[in-house]
Amino acid sequence: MNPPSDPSPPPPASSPEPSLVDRLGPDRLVLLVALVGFHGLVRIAERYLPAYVEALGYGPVVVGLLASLGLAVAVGVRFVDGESDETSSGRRRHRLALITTLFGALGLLVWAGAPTLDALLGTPLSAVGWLLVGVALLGLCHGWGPDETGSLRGRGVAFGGSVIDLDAASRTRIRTRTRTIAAALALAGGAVLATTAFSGAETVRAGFALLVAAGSTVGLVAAVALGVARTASRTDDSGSGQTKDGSEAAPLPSTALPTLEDVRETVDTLPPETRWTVAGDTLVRLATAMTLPFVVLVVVDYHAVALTVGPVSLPPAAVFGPLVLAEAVGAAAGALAAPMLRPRVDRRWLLAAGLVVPAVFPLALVAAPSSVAVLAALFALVGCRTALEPVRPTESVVTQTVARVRERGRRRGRSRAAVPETLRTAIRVALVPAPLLGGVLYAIGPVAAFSLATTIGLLGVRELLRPLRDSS
Amino acid sequence: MSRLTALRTGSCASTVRASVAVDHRRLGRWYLVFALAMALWGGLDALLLRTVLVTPGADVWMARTYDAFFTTHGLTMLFLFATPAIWGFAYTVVPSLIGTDRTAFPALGTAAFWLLPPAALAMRAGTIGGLVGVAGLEPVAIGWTMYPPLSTQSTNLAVDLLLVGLFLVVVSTVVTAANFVVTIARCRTIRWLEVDTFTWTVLTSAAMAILSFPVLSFALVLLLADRNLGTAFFVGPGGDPVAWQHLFWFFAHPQVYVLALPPMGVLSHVLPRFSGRRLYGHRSAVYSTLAIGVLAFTVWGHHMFTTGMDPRARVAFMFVTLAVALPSAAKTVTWLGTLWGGAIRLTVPMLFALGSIGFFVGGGVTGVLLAVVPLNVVYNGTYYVVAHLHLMLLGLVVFAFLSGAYYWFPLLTGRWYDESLARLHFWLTAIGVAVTVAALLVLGLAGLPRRVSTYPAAFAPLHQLATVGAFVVAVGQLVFCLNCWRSWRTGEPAGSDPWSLESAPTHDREWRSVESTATPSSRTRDRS
Repeated sequence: MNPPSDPSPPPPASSPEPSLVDRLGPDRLVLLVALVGFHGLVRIAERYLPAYVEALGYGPVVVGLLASLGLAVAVGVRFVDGESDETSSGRRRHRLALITTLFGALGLLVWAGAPTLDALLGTPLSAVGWLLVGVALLGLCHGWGPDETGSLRGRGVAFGGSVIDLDAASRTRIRTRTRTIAAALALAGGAVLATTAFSGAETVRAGFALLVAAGSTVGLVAAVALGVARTASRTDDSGSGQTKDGSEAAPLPSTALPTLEDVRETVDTLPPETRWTVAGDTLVRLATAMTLPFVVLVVVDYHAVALTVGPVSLPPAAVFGPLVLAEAVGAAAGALAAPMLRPRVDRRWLLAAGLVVPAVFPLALVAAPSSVAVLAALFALVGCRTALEPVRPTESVVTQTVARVRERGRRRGRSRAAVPETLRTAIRVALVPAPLLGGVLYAIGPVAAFSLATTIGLLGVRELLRPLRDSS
Repeated sequence: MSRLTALRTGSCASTVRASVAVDHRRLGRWYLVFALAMALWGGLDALLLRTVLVTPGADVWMARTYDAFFTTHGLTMLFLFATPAIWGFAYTVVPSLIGTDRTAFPALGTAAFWLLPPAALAMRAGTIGGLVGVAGLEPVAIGWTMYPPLSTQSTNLAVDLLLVGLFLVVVSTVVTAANFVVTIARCRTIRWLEVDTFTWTVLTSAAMAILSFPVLSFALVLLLADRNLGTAFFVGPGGDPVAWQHLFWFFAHPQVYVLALPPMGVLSHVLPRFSGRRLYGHRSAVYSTLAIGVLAFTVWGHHMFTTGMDPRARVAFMFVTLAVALPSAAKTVTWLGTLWGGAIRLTVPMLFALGSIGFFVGGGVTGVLLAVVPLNVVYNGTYYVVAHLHLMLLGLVVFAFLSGAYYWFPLLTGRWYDESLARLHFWLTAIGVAVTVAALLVLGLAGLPRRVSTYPAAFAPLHQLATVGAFVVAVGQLVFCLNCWRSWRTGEPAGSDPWSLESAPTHDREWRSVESTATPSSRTRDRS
């Protein structure tokens, strides 16, 4: 007769330093992975959306319209959010983040079902209508949902201030860089999955459906994990506007839509060198916004490059995945190199040199030979622009960086102005129709559209270089 | 050198001893690990077939690939996951619950377990052969019900291996079931009235398995003969394909209850522990178990209403099937009565138990409607049946298994699981199952035929929703595996009374066996 085996395991091994899992908790680690995966899949789906729209039988004007609506929703969300943020409690913000993450998952599914939802539900929206609904849902997710690191507009929604136990200033810098690297990793993961999906499926529609189904799954997982993590912690409900570690939250943008008069007055108050910098950066952004949605179409239709590696052959739509992967690798490399470059190179030179790449990219893309290696090099190069993202004057997350620069300049007896939120808002609004304009131009001809974009981008670089030229 | 040899010899000897161990709790752990591995394999099949259904055309994989996933998913889940999981839980706790420390035929029980790995390999030979590229071995694509003439016409050698593997499963199951019947009947040291509901359900299921599985083995032999010896039992002159359906469903419907009763027993076991009360209507729970056990053998015909059955027989089968709803409802009343007015602690086992009851009610309601002949004729070939089946097998059975797995985790491993991961597991699984089944139910109500890899494009959004839900369930199970692996290695030690039940009216014998092993640092968990 054998007695039942008794479970008497040895005591758990004690580790001297807590691991990331121990610091975060395994459930929050799952949340973090899910958020990174979700954002990566959303971003790659957004990059592929134009090819899907084209497969549904629509032209570049519709693609531009969808992208413009996305930008408009992003601008609108900022106004609504600005009103509520000051008074909303942690619990409310968390609930909003959870709901909008669900919106994101739903938005992806709506994209997949766009061609057939009318037949199923008896609605008269048409495929474009449902695509617009998806764009709006994802826009809400981008605006109010947590980012790759679980933060909502600079505040730790999911993790509070406990992830990296540093002082507030260091945390801001590191978080910006961490966020960029996390975004690059997410995009890389999404690109790999997209390559698999588009190479396994026989049509672009099927590949896109697989991709967004995966994204929707990860989004739903992230939403559930967000809810469970919140239930477990039940903290940060004070609504005092402070982060978990007691430090003041980042300043919130103004909520009123600026009038033209406001913008003009704001521009007048800026020193000339800042004005030129802002104008130059805005023109480069305009060029990028005009062309970015159509990059996938250039790869798939214009170059139509296929790739065969051993027994695996990738159709043009699948080849776009490795190209985005190269861009993500470039982005990670740029983010890693940024801290090394900044003390060595003058900020303005860095900015000018860095912006030449995205400015020239559109023309280079259409002029490049139809070779995967050349295209990958171009994508990797344009991915490296993350090295200068923190010092771009129109980048909203760099308020504090610009302020620090201004403070240093003041100490040196020079005056530098930060870009006011009014102006940044005006720039965002001005960029809204850019994709639509790009779509119209692309319908005329890809080469014409991308050449014009490069011209605009190079004009921007010229504006950036003006103060340097004048001072020399 | 000689010392090294001695060590090696000793190691080999201990390995051999361990592999023929007759300790019931260790055997239970083996069964549960095997069942988990097979669940992951069968679950992967489900994910792959759901991936095919993301698009309305067969433009991800070929239709034949879908058929193969469909076949292996059903067979793996029923025979290699759910049935072994039941024996796993039974071996873990039943001997302790009836006051004995061994089963009646321990060595035979161990031998029965060791039949399962070769059976699994034989059943999945087509998949393995297809992946490795073995000539003549292709993925089996005859459907999990193996209906002739499809199953007799296939020249794939993997079909024969599948039938042989199933035969081995039958032998293993019957031996194990006999072991439990004899153990409970002869080895218990308590009176029948003191036997708990979980043990009653295991006893009933074991008895049903002894009666029903041989029918399957008989049918398998006939099918093998038709395929290889030129006989014509099911196809050909004098053969009748419907005869296979009669034999198969005479086995398969009781098998559904073989799978459902022990999970119901788990619910009856877990609910009182976290409600602060004894089980409401213990005797009613036992009688309803026995009633289901008897009625289960009389309802197979409702799977065949559309085969041209005599209308009088159809009506008879309809009423008998509707009658099963009565003991099932009695069980629900028992559970709700236990919860009513109780001091409920929402621990993870309790969450899974509550989820299981909810899905069981949904499965029961949809099942009652399927029993009605006119509705059955309309919905029998649609996704409605898939939704109903998954409400019962995924909603009731798997949720109850997971409830038991968390409840007995300290008993199985001596450690606590991670609470936050377990809650995440619950919510992912519950939401995933709800989304999937709801989408399938709507597809079924819309009349979409099942078992086909292509469908009208209008149904694509619902299929995509079901696929998303299925993948969320899969992520939940990965979280479960992560939790098990991590907690088994580094979890907090659990005490002899981990659920703080010693002073409660529901303290049970299974925990007494670990009382002596409790360490001073062992902790109880009394979270609500």
